[in-house]
Amino acid sequence: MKFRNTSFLFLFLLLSQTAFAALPEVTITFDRQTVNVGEEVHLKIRIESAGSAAQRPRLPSIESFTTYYTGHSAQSKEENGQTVSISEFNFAIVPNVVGKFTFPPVEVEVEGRMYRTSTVEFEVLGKPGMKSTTHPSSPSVPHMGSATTPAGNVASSSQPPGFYQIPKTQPQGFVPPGADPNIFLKAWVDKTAAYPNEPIVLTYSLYTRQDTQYEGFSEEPVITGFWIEQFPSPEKLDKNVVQIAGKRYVRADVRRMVLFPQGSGEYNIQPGTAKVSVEERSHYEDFMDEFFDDSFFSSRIYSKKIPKVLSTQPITISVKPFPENGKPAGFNGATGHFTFTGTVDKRTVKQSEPVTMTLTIEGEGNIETLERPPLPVLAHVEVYDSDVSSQLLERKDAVMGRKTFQVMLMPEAVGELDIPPVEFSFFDPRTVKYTTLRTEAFRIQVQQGEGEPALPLKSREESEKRKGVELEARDIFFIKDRLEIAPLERANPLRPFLLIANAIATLLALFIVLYLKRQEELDTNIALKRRIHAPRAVRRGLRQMGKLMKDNSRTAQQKFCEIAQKTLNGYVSAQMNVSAQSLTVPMVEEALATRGESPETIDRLKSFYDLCNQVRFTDTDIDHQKKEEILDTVEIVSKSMAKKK
Amino acid sequence: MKRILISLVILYSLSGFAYAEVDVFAAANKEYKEGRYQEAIRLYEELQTGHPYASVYYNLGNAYAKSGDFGKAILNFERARRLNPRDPEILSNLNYVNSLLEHQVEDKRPAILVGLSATMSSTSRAELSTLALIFYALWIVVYIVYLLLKRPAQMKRWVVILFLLFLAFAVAVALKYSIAREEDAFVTAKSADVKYGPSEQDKTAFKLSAGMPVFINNERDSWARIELRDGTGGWISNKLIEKVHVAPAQAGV
Repeated sequence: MKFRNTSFLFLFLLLSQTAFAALPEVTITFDRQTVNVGEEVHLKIRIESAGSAAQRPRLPSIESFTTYYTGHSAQSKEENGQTVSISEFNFAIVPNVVGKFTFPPVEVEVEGRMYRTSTVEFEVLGKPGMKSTTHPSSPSVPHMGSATTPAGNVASSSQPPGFYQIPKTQPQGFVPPGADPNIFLKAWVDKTAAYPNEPIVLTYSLYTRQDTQYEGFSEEPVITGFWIEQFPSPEKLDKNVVQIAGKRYVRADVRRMVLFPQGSGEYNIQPGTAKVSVEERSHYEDFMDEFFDDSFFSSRIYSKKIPKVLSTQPITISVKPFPENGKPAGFNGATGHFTFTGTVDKRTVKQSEPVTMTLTIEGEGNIETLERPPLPVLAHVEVYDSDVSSQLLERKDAVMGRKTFQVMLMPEAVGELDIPPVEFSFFDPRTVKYTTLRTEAFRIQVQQGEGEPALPLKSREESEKRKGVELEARDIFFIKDRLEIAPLERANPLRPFLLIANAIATLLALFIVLYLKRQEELDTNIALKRRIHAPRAVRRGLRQMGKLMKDNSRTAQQKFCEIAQKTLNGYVSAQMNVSAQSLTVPMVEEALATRGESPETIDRLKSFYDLCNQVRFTDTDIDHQKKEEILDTVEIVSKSMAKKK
Repeated sequence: MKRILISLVILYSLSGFAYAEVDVFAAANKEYKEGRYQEAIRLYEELQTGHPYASVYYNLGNAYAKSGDFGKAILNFERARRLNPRDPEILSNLNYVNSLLEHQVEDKRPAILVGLSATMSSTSRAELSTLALIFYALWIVVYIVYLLLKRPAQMKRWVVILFLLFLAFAVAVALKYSIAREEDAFVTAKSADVKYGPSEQDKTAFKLSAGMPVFINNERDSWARIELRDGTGGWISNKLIEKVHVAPAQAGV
């Protein structure tokens, strides 16, 4: 067989609108490019999807080819925070005739949608002596053999490639009522009562007394409520000769599958119908009885092919519920007989460094539906499921397999991390008992990581996950025992103080506002400001002079007169709005005269300046009386000017 | 210091606290604990003439609830809530008894009014007025400093912020006061006919059951013009309802 396109065909199909834009991905792989008639080509269909594991794809009906399903494997992995399921379905294809053929599209159902591959053209080469048939008129299917060479066509005692052994039980030897006594089909199971997930083998046995070709099922069986694992279709049918009601039949088991019930209850299986073609001859019965192994049985000189459809009776299977007695708390439906192991890849890690724990379940039972045993609650440890893989194994007289779960543990705290044993419980239908298996306990040394906080591990008792509080009933809360005031109302007694403080502060603020406003006004009217401030300066000057009154020292007398002159000059200059330094005695006299001051006052002022100058600039002394005169002059002149301004 | 202590003692006594009230309260609690709810109700009612305490209204509500009078229970829980609006036990009991009522009126008031009402109901007038006074004091102090420092630009924002806070609480106090004047009331009779007019001869518009809240819009003789939260209204006898009536002085304003 030679593929014209390529040895493998990738199909990227329409994608679901999820964040995982590249999924689902369906890949078909052929292991060989050329093949002779009768040789196997292995076909692998790999489906990667973001959802649950994909269903087994159906190979199309291919003329002149025999196809076998050789099993599948499944695993899941984490990619970018998403779980990706990977399923691989394996088939064997055996060409029976030479020629050029087109391998039709394969239909794959992923996440509820059908996807189709494109076609592939290939060529089958002939073996030496092989008759070339480019367009076979009939499908190439396993031949039941003929009476001429029955022994030679009976398969050897070894089983066809697959994972399940043929059950030891055999169907009861009678012709089903209403069936053709020369050829009939029987569907039978190795047990009609089982527990959930306990394997039940459904076998289709064809009994014939004629030269027969089995052509497959025209109507597929209807089986609901079961997880189904198909036996690989054999290249050669296993045949043997049996006696039923005194007659000899060739019997072949044409189809076999394992059913795993998914729940308890009564289930009815509609077995479907099979297609065969028989070569019909005259007077064959008596002849066959006497010469079953004679070559005449397979002679086709005086025969013709007649197609027949064979049906069989429905089968009822009773699935019992799991016994409640002794059911472990962690039991999650695993049925069969298993071993359970657990390992960790490191015993010493740094904070936030992953430790991979591998849990392996191996044994008889439905491997595909096994769930990861629950891990004990670990404080300060992040737990991630990293990988799940399953593998079906071939063992004698058993449905075997192995499933591996990988879990990543990331300790976040420094210290000794104790991982208690992980438990796995299963129900063994043979002993009708539950079994709980445990891994060993692990101790991991966690060292402080770089830049990680050294959070100590708490004791296990502290870290036990506590259940949330559930409200069981509602009622009113009990009465209050204390005659208490509301929290902020306790501040009520302080509110009068607050009110008084606020009032005072408000008045203060008002005063400040008015004061500042007045200051602003005065800043713009200097003359007014000087006149307003002048009396204050006079009062200050008079106070200083009063202090110097009793001191008769020369310096004190000079100081006294200096202050007197400055005070009076300051006041007069402020009233006249002139500079104090530019003020002269004539100017003062004129100003006083203009204001209508009496001549006595003007004379008094003259005497004041003369006396003060004498004291300040000569050796003239003044007595107490003179001082009082000076003091009075300052006071009288300033008051007089204030009255007449 | 001595003067301050004396002032505090005087203010404390002015708040209405008295040993006699404590004794009556303890006696009422004792009656309640021993299951004599009617006697407990009588004693708690006596305490209502003095200073209003949230705990008195709360216990009174409990006593009414235990004796099966859900209308008066809700009324007194509501009074307690107005004095101590965020007390979890008061709120829990009020919600619980409300959930036992047979009828509920859908609140069809505008959303903004419902939201404002809910916000305002989570604070008491005493709290709001105290906060307004505190923010006023802070504002005036900061304003004085601002004036004395010749109005520095960096202080201006604090003056504005504190003034706005004071203003907000002052408005809230005013709102609270105006809401209180709407005369909230609850139906205290087991069943109450709401009529189209203020007399027994008027036709009955609808019936109310105990514990249902009403707003009193108007009063005439012994009749009140009420409105429900869904907008429907009518006249009801004053005997069948009771105002929440936590007086402004009692509520701390």
